[in-house]
Amino acid sequence: MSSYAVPNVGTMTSTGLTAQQMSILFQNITLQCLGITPSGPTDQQAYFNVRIDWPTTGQPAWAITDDIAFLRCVEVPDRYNTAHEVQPVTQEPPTYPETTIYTRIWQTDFIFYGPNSFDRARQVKACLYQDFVHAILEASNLYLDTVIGTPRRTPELFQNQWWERTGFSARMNEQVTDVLVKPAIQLANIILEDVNGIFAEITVDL
Amino acid sequence: MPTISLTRVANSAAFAQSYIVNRSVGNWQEGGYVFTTTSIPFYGIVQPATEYDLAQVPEGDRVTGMLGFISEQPMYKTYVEGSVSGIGDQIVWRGQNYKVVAVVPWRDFGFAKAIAARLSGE
Repeated sequence: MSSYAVPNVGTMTSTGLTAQQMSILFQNITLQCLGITPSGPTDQQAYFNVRIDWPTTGQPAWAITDDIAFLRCVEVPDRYNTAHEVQPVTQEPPTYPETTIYTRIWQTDFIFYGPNSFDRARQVKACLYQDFVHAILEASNLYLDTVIGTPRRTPELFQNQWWERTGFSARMNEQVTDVLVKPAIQLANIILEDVNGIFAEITVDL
Repeated sequence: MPTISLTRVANSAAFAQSYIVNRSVGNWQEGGYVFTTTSIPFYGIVQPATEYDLAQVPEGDRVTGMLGFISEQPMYKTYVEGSVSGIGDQIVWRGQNYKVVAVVPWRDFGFAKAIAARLSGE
């Protein structure tokens, strides 16, 4: 949940996930699907196995014998994410929340390197259909698109060796709720004027 | 093994100057690779490796460039050695940060050479 002030308008609060939040969510799901249980958020032995792409400062590489998964979470275009629903206002002044609900489409790319990469891709893909994964996703307003890409085995030539590599992608819908709390009209001043000037002023308390 | 050592040249006051090497050690955690850095005083030769180029992109003018650093002490690019790993050394010279992107294997001749890329785009 993020919140920030919109100058001269009000305060915007959004449930929209950041790319880092998505990455951490899928880092932990992938570990669970691979049967690896971190003892805590700093468990190097566990998190060594599932890494997040595009770290700002870079990160060390891996050996051809290591089985490592890499994750990329990006938003993708889709007709489904064009509709925005603005909810009716129910709150009384002095402020009112303008609630907008819409769907974002995320794509997570799962890339597996290592001698067992092909089977680990199958393992994680099959695991994504399990109820416990759906429960984890739902807690973050995410809903899996059940058409998951086919794992493609595409070994990569690097430094004169073919490195085993398999990847697939999964899409999910995120329900995002944005709430912009705006000041409401509290008084209305009505000024009546003709060719001779102002002849009445009325203040209506709303 | 070579019988000549150029350590004296690398440390020569006629060529050398001081700079700082920030060396990192890290590990993988929830959310990515996390590292800590230690600042190490270095003394050696700083020389241009490329010119400072100006890239004029729609968003503004961005500066790129590389320097060569020569020292008696080793410098590291991103590395993994057993269970220890770190990202490439960051060198601070005249207020600018440079990241080691290449290490030239001259250690048998008594010195280390690294090529480092300017990090700031300004």
